[in-house]
Amino acid sequence: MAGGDEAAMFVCHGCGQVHEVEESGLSPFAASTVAVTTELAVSGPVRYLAVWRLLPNAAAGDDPVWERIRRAAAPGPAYLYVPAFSMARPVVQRIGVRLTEIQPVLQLASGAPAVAGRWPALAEAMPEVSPFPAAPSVSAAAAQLASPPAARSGSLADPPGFEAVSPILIGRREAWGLAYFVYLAIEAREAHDLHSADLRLEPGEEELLFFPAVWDPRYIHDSNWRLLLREFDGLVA
Amino acid sequence: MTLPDYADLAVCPFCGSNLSRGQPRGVDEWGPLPSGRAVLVDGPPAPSGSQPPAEEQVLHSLSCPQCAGPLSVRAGRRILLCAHCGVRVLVTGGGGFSRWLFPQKIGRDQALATAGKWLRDYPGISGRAREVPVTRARLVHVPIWEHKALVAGWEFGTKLRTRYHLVTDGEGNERLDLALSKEPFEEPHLLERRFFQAACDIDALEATRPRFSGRELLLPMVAGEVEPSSTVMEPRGTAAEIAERGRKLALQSASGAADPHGRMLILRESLTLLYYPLWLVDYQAGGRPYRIVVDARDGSVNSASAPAREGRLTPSLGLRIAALVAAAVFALWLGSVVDAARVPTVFVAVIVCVTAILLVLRSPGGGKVEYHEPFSS
Repeated sequence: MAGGDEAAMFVCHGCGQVHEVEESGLSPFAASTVAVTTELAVSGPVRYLAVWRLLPNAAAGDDPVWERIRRAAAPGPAYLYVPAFSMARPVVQRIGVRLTEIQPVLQLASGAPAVAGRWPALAEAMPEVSPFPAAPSVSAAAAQLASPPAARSGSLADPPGFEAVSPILIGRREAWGLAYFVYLAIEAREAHDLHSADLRLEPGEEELLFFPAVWDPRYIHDSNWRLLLREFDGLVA
Repeated sequence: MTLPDYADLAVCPFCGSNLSRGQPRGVDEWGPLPSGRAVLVDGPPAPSGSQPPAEEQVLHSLSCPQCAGPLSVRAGRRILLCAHCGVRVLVTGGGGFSRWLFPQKIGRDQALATAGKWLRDYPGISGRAREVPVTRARLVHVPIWEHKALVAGWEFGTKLRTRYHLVTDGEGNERLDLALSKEPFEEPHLLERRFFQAACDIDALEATRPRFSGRELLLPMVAGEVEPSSTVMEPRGTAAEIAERGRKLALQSASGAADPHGRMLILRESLTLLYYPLWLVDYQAGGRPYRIVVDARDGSVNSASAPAREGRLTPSLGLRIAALVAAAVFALWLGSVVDAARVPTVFVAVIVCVTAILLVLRSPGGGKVEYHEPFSS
């Protein structure tokens, strides 16, 4: 099961099931994987980024920014997007703003992306042929415990610290708080006066989606991530 | 107070891995603990055999639910790794606060040696005090609250900024002029804010709050980790009060604007009680008690006091006083010569004389030498 100390949810790479941490323990949480729709060539390994898609129950009707987002999403509902794979402010802001403004049309498949060859049961039954890494030694465990969290998180320019599937660092409740942050970011780009921002977000439905992406430093406006969606083709900086 | 509930195996139930949904062995045990088992205390340590009051004190064993091996625990970690079988265990919690300990690295002998060295080397100390044997030391663990908050939001308003302007005078000459201008700003924030507050009267111990970043290696506050002879001080203040204050401070403006407006909110927060070890080294000199506080984590002197050198004018102090007296005499002479300047010069002479007297009174010969660790609070 993937997820470190900062994880809000845990992903099983074997079966694609996402688990949410609750008072009573772990409980399954439905997630979906977004299909690749880009029409351009893809270079580099495809990674899946966890993003919250939020559908507020009610939002202020008079806010022009929200009206524009609703028009962009029509005939479907308008969603707010909050990246869940990073706690870095620029990443949350840029990718959240871009997805919310564009309101991409998504083709969803149930479950988180599964990683081939990651079956813990197989690892336990046949450890000699296990595709899983061996149980860590005492020294490895101590080294892991001794390494400060700061040492494991790099700057934006560094390649991502995960392989195929991103961790989920933002929980459901936090996502609604960050949705407001993302919305104000859109408002700040357009209105230049946040006093007038008038969006009342009432938490409604939330979905956890895994977006296909390639880490590409040319996409500086998307925090070095190229989302493999048709709507993002040609958005290279 | 609600506290972390239990440890849950962080492996998937859907594809065949072990996942313990029940409480692992050793959870909620109370009383004497078997040796060799890692135990995390959340809440005040209880005397042996006593029952924890409901919702106040819960003892959590952190032995591995799969093999009962010890789990390595460190502050800030939610995933614990069993060093024996490699299982990762997730610690869940719904609030409250946990207690952590700065590991003590300096023993009694080292603390006494550090205190003795300070007495010998620090300037301005009485010669007799330098020879005093320092033999009494006791260890205390000082509680310090730590509130961490992840804050997100926007700040906006106006800021005063200095701007260069090109100014042309009547003769056509151009020059750059600085001017203050009010400019609107909008700043996004997504940051972690930490707030520390001593949970006991550190001044009463004649110590200062030790310096630390909050990112040091910490140990769980368990019976086996604390030296038996140590005095663990009772924390002052309630978790609710500290959390309230921490929230208020976390939401304070970070922009430095003159009229900040913010739409900020706290995404997540945690409260921790940190115990810091200090050696209190007491000694007597001239019939009066003095104390040197030695940091038991890094061996530095946290704060100290000692009798000052006997009242003697040092050359530098003598020079300063002589200069001040000369200035006062000059001012009086000037006042007697120039009638119009009589009142101001007398006023200046009085101020200079008072300054000279204060210099003498506050000189090291006046009583006590005090030292406090720089940049501590």
